[in-house]
Amino acid sequence: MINHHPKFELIQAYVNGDLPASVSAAIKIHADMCPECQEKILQLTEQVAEISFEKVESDEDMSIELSEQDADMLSQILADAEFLQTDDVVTAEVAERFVMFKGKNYKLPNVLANMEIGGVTNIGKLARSRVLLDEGEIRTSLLHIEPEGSVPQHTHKGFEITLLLDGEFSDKSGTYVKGDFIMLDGQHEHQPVSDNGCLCFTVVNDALHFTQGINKLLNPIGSLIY
Amino acid sequence: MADVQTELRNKTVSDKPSLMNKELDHLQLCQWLTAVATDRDKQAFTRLFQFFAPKILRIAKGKFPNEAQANEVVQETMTNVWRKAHLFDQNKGAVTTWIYTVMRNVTFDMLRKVKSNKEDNLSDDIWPLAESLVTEDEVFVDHIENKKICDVIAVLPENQQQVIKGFYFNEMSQEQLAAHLNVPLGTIKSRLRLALAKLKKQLGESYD
Amino acid sequence: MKLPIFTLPIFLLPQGITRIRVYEPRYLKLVRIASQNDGFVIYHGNKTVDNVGSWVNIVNFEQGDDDVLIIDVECRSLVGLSEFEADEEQLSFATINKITHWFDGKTQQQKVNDEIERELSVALRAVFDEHSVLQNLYETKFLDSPYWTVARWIEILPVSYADKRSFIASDSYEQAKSFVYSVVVDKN
Repeated sequence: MINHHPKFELIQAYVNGDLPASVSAAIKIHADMCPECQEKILQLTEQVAEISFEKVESDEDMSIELSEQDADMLSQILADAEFLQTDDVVTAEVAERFVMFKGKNYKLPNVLANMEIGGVTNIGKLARSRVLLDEGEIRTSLLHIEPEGSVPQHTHKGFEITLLLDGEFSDKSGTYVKGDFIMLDGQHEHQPVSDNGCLCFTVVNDALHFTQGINKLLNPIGSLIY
Repeated sequence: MADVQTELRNKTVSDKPSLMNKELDHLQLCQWLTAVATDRDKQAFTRLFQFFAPKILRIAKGKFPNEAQANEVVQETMTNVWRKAHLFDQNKGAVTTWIYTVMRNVTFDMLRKVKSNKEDNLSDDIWPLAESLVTEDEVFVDHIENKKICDVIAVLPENQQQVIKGFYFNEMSQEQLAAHLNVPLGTIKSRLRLALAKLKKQLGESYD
Repeated sequence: MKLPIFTLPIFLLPQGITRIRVYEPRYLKLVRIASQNDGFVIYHGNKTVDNVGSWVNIVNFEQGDDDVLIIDVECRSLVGLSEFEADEEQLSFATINKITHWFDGKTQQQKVNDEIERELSVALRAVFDEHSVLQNLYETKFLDSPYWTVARWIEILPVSYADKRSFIASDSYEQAKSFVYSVVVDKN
C-alpha cells in the first residue's frame, strides 16, 4: 500500500503550475496510483479555478461589446479555427512507451511519454538514464537498482524526490513500494537498498554528498548515480 | 437556493445571458462550451471569450511581465478551448476547472520555453485535458446537474420551475447540499465521488 | 397482488414520503385506483437496472393550479415487480413481492448508538429546518432513529439511482451509514 505522499504545499504548487516539469511529473505519476492524492488535486483545481474566474470589481464595467483589440483576437482565433477544424483532430491518446534495463522492459508512465530520455549508464548494480528536461541544477533520472543493489549512504544539500515505478526498496526508515512519493532534504541521510530490484523516477536539485567511509572517495561520482 | 432562482430568471426573462452574476453561472458556461464542442457554435464561443478572456489576461499579467506574452496566453488558451472543447466532459468537472487547466497548461509551456528554452509542450501530459479518474469504471454522473437538466430546465414552464427551486425528484441538488453544508460545490462533488468510490470498494470486497 | 405503476426515477425507502404532481390522464386514473384499493408502486422504469419499486400509500392530496393534482405518498415497503402489463391507456401494472429491508420494523425501537449516528441525526434535523418542503411532508419525524435518519439521507442525497440501489440490499445499513457520513460530515 502506498504510504508516502507529497505534502499539501507541493500539491498546491502542482495545481498552480508553479513546479518544474520534473517535480510535476513525479506528482502526476504518484497521483495516478493514489486515489487520495488524485482527489485532493481534483478538489484543489476546482477551487483554484472557481477563484480564478469569479467576478471581480473591474468586471462591473465590462460591457457586452468587446474592445477593438479583443474583437481582433477573437476574429483571428475563429479564422484560424475555421482553418484548423477540418484536419486538426486533437485526441487525448498517449502512445505507450517502454524502457529497457538489464534485459527487462518497463512501461513508462504516460507523463514521461514525450520526454527526451538519454542513454543508460551502468555503475555496478545501478543503472541510470537521464530524463533530459534542461532544468538547470535540477536533474531527473530513471534509476534502476538490481536485486541486492544499493545506493551508497548519502545526504543532499538540496532535495531528492524518489518515486518508485516498480519493485520496492528500503532504508532505515522503512520499506517503500510502487507509487510511494519520497521526498528528502539535507536533513536526511539514507542508504536505500533493494532486495529484489526496483525502478525509480528521481529528481534531485544538487549533487549527492556521500558520508561514509570508503564512499567518501566516491563523491565525484555522486552526480553520476543520481 | 437563491442562486438557482437567479439562474432561472436569467433564462426566462432575458434571452441575453447576463454576465453580471456575482456567482458563477456554471450551467450557462456548460451550455456554451458544449455548443462549441458539438456544434462548433461561434456565438457560444464568443460568449466564452467575453467571459474568460479578460480574466485570463489579468492572471497572465501576474506571470508574465511582458504584455505581449500575456496576450499570447489569452490567445493560445482560447484557441485551445475551441480546438479541444470536445475533450471537456461535464460529468467530470466544471467548465471553469477545465478552462483553468487549459490556461495553466499554456502558461506552463510558455514559461518552460522562456526558462529552459524547451518547446516540448509537456503540460498536457502532466495535466491531461481529458483526465480519466483512477476509478475509471466508476464514472461519477451527477444526474441532477448534468445535461438532462441543462436541457430540461430551459423549457419548463414558469409554474413548474417551482419543482427545481425546491427538491427535484425528492432530492437536493448538489448546489443545495453545498449551500446547506456551507462548503464549496467542488467539495461536495469530490465528497460524493470519494464516497461512491469507497462504497464500490466495500461492495466489491463483500462480493469477493 | 397486482398494483398500478407510476414511472418516476425516485428512490424511496420505507417510511419515506414524497410529493408528486399528477396531471397525465393515465396517472389520474392510477390515483383513482390506488385510493380505492391498496396503493401503487413507484418504479424508475428501467428493467435492465432492476425490478425493484417502492410500494406507496397516498397520505395527503390537494388540488394544485392548472388541474394538477398534488399527492403526498409514503413508502410502506420495497417490492420486487414481475408480470408487467399495460392497459389501453398505457398505465402499467405488475405483480408485487415484498422485499425485506434493513429498515423494516426498526423505526422507533432503535436509538442512536454512536457518534456517527448522532451527527447524522443533527445534520438531518438542520436540513428539515431549512427546507420547509421536507418539513411539511413529514408530520412525524423520527430523528432519534438512526435507521430512519440514514434512510432519509439516502433519499435526498444527489446520487444517481444506480448508486442508491446498493442500499436496497437488506444488509446494507452499515454501508449506507458510512456513505452518508463521508458525504455529509467533513473529516478534515
